[in-house]
Amino acid sequence: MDEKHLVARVLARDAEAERAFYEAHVDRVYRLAYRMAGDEALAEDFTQDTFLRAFDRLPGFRGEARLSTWIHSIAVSVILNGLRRVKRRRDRETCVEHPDALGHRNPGPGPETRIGLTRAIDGLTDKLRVVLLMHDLEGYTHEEIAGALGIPVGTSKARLSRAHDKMRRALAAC
Amino acid sequence: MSEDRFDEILRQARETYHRPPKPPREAIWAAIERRRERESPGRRRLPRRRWICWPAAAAAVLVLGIAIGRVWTPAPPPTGIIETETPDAGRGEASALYRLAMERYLGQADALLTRFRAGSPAGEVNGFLSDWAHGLLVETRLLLDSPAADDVELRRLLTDLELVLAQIVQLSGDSRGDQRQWIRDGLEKREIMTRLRSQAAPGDFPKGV
Repeated sequence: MDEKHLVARVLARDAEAERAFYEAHVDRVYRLAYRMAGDEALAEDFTQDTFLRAFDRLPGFRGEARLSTWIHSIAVSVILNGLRRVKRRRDRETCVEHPDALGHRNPGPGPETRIGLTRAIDGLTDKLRVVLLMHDLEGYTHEEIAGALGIPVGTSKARLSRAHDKMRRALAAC
Repeated sequence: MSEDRFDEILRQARETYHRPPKPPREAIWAAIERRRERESPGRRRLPRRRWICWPAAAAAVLVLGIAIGRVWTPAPPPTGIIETETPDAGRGEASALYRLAMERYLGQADALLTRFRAGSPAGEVNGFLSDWAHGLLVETRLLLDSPAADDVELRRLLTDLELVLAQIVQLSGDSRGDQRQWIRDGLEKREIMTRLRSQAAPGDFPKGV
């Protein structure tokens, strides 16, 4: 089933098409959400929110971009907004209860380099981190990243380059 | 730091930084379904619930008819025999309603598709035709969930019309010509106009409709 046909059937509330639409994109959306959040529950929440928003907005999809680009633009927006909310909440909680526990939850004990690497990536701003994770860890092209983030391809390349520079400096300081 | 060393670090990051597990597809889908149902209750049952209107309307017509009959017809002398309504009377009223609704629907669908095939300007597809198609799409779903769709041929036609109407609704003013042509090709390939007109022929409704 091609994209136009699939979209038409989803708009006609065909349950099979809705599921096919979900199956076609869920893996990449979930992987990106997990890479960004580093937490299964958050990744599931972000994936759910992405698809709920996609089903709501599908009548407005005009086919100007590929469906995967369109759904990733929703996913990136959901993930970044969700992470900001989580960070605000965690900051409030850690200020009150655990002043030393600021930062991401994932690193845990492990080799020095691994901790350094995690810190170097976590230390990036979300704008740079999302480009790095999409390109270097998940294999998206700059065209896909640009489409999902609504930025020019050149900006995506520049952000990746800045992310690399910052990581190099952070790793050198370890 | 050398390029090779940095590439090695990025490879390591792929393996270790927030490495995603297999997504719990079924659990996520179930949660999405639950939330969609909660956020718009009866979403999937909408046509079914709306279809309750048909028997209700038929029943209302019957009640009105009986009431008028009782007002205008002199009461018969008491005989001691209790009269009952025959089920056929209700079925006849409902059948007339189905027929009226289906006649109107098929006529509208024919008119819309004829106008679309004639080559509408882009602006019209964006506005008037799109609204018209949207209204007919809702009616199609109601009819698909009604006894009218018990007829196999009519059901196939309604299913094809549902798809075509959804495609027309989706067209925008700046849609490319090949998108419209794609819909026209679909109409030809599935012989929708021929089937539509043969179903719309007077006195040719399926049983019970």
